Amino acid sequence: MEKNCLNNKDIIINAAKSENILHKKQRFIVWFLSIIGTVIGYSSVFDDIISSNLDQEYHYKNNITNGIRHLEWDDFNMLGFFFCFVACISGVSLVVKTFAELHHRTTSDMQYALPLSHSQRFISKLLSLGNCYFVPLIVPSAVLGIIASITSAFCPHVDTADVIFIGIWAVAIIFMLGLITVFTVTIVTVCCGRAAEPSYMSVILGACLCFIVPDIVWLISASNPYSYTGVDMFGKMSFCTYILALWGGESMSDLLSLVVNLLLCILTFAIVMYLSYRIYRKRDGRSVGKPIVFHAIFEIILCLGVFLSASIGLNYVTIAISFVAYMIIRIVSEKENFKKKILAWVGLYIVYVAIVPIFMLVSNATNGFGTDNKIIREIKKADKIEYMDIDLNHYYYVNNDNYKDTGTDAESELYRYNSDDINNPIDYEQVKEFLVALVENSKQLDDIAGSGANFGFVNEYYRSYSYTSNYELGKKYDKFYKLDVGVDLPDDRNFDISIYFDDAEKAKEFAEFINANPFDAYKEPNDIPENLPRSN
Amino acid sequence: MIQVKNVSMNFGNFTALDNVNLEIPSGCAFGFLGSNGAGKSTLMRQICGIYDVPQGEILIDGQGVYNNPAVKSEIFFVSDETVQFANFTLDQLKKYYKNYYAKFDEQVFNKLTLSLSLPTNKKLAKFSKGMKRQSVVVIGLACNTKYLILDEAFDGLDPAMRSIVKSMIIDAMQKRDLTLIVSSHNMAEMTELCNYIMLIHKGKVLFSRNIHDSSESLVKIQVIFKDKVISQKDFENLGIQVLSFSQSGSIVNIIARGNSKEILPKIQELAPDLCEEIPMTLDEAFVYEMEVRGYGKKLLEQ
Repeated sequence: MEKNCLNNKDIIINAAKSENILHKKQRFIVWFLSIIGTVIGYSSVFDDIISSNLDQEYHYKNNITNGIRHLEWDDFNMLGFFFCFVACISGVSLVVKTFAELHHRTTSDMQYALPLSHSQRFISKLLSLGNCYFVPLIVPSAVLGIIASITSAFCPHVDTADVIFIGIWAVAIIFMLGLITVFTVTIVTVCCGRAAEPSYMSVILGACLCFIVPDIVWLISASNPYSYTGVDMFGKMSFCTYILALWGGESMSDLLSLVVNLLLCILTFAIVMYLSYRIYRKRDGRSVGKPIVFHAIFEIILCLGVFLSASIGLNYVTIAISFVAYMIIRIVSEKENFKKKILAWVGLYIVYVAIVPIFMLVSNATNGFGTDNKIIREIKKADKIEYMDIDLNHYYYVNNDNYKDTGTDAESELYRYNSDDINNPIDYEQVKEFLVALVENSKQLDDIAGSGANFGFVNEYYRSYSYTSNYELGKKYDKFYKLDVGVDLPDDRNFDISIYFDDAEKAKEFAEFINANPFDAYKEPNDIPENLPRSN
Repeated sequence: MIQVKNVSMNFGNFTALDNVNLEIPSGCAFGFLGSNGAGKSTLMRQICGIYDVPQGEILIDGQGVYNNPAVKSEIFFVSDETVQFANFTLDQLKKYYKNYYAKFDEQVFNKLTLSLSLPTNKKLAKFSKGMKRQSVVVIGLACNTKYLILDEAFDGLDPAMRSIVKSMIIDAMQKRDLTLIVSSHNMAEMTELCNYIMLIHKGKVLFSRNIHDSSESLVKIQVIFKDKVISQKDFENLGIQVLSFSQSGSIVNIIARGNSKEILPKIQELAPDLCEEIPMTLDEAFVYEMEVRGYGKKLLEQ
């Protein structure tokens, strides 16, 4: 046989080029949405850069330190991020189309007859996805990030490092979303022989990936008094990205957690794609048209879906909805003879739902699968540091360039890192005593506010929590007591002050300071007395 | 040469191929005949490497074809549908296949598209059925592979289009060592195009032979008995395997398995007034072979 003169690398590259021809329309859609999203996203960043030295009051209200306006990841306009998110989601149809030979008879004839091995075909498809999906997804945000960084370098009121971080953040988040979309849809697609299944099963799997980790954490904490790990299931970004929820990263607003999440995402991508390849190579044209080819994956996805829906709310409504959805999926994915299997499916459903209480029982019996012990161990290592955090969250809105105050909600939290006390009963009275003392001093705020301030209660039934600090990547454990304080002020300033609890005099001094001069102190942040440590 | 050895395949409970053995010599035009669902397309897809070969083996020039790019680069498969190419223009299709087939002959492509007046910048979705088919065959020929496999590629085409597509293929076969494997329901076409033929039914190969080889074939014989009443049993008593027996007055027509040199002398024992072999078309051979196996008219009778 005359040998094909191309080597393996050339064959794959050529095949990827051919594959690109099939996805021109999809590539255009991704480019279009991604450019729109990035332009909108960066519009607010550019606005911040350009307008940062125009409005003193604006500066004042945005935590300017030493004349530098500090931008953060959320300065990237969320509407723009939404468009980028839609661009990412458009990858669902692209991935399904890329693997069309798995569910489309004539395409299967065309593609399987081509002179490619399974690995060559699979890798060429990944390369094509890189070209038609990842490039248009990332390039606009990367280019605008560079432009914004260069622009900010000429603006003395903005820290260029912040702008660079926003650029890195945007590229990383969009890239991660793309990776997750691709591996989620790929693994489902390679397990199905019809086009319909990947569409709804990837939604289920996506939801599972989104919520399963925080859901499990929540189940552990719900079944155990000490194991609350601080994962915010519906965190700030989780409405539009599953990454934050996926690995418990409540915030990726610092470079370290961003990098960690990115690496985790890439690792997961590599593992899932390898698994997909192992399944893909077992398939040929014979399995085209079958709804589910690899039932194990289908069962895992269904089990995860039922588990998730049952654990979010184990009540009649959620059970009924999830049961109906479960049965519809079962019936749709079964070509024939489904009547005989209905009883078995119902039985399986009950088993999947039963995993939730069983899981919680085991969690309870094992002290949160040992997390309690770990937390206690870690807390014992901690230095004895206690501090009180008082947040006066100031809400306002803008109307005709006038800032209108909508009131202030004050919240106080007492943090304690205390290795001695962790196993002892909480001395609520001691805590209450201190807080009431502080609040009593603060009651003079009533006079300023002209309305009744509601201070001074410590709820004894408020649970003592331990939680993992995300910023420390799980190495730091806090134990805190919480005091809710409400106060209305006609006009005030944002401030966020932390004082160390072990220095009661300092706390008292702080309270007196506030009472004496509540606003003047915060006209400029630098005016805060040095003996009052500022929170981050 | 393509060798199919003891190949069997099932789709669930359905047996698509049942211990198929076949040899397709290089440079020939090989026709796959069979009823709908007989296993022609399944066998073709296995030969192209679209389906794995779970039982038995298929060797192309001595090598297995499944997941073997080197072997597959010598095969081009044209399926019975063209819908997968609907969004391509011919230019795109050329680019697409050129990346896969190193021996893609652009001259052949240009010459054929020009001579057939096929627009290269128009999507195939806007082509007529015949033009689509022509386009795919043009691509298949331009890929310059050793084996061209056409699955019912002529079905649904008008006679003029068939003629054009056929002449393109015959021209290519004359110019180079192209092996053509074609499946069709059109016997006349197969007779015209192929020099080898295989009949498959319910996954089993009924026969596979040179189209001009009369051994092991069927014969149609007309016998006249003026003063006798003859039944099918009389012929069978002579050791003749009768597939079809029909009588109209004194004229008896039988279709028998075997060759005429053996059968005619046997019939002479019945002292007929006239006994002669009537040429039988491939179409008739197909119908009779299938009828024996309960397909066709007998299916209706049931």
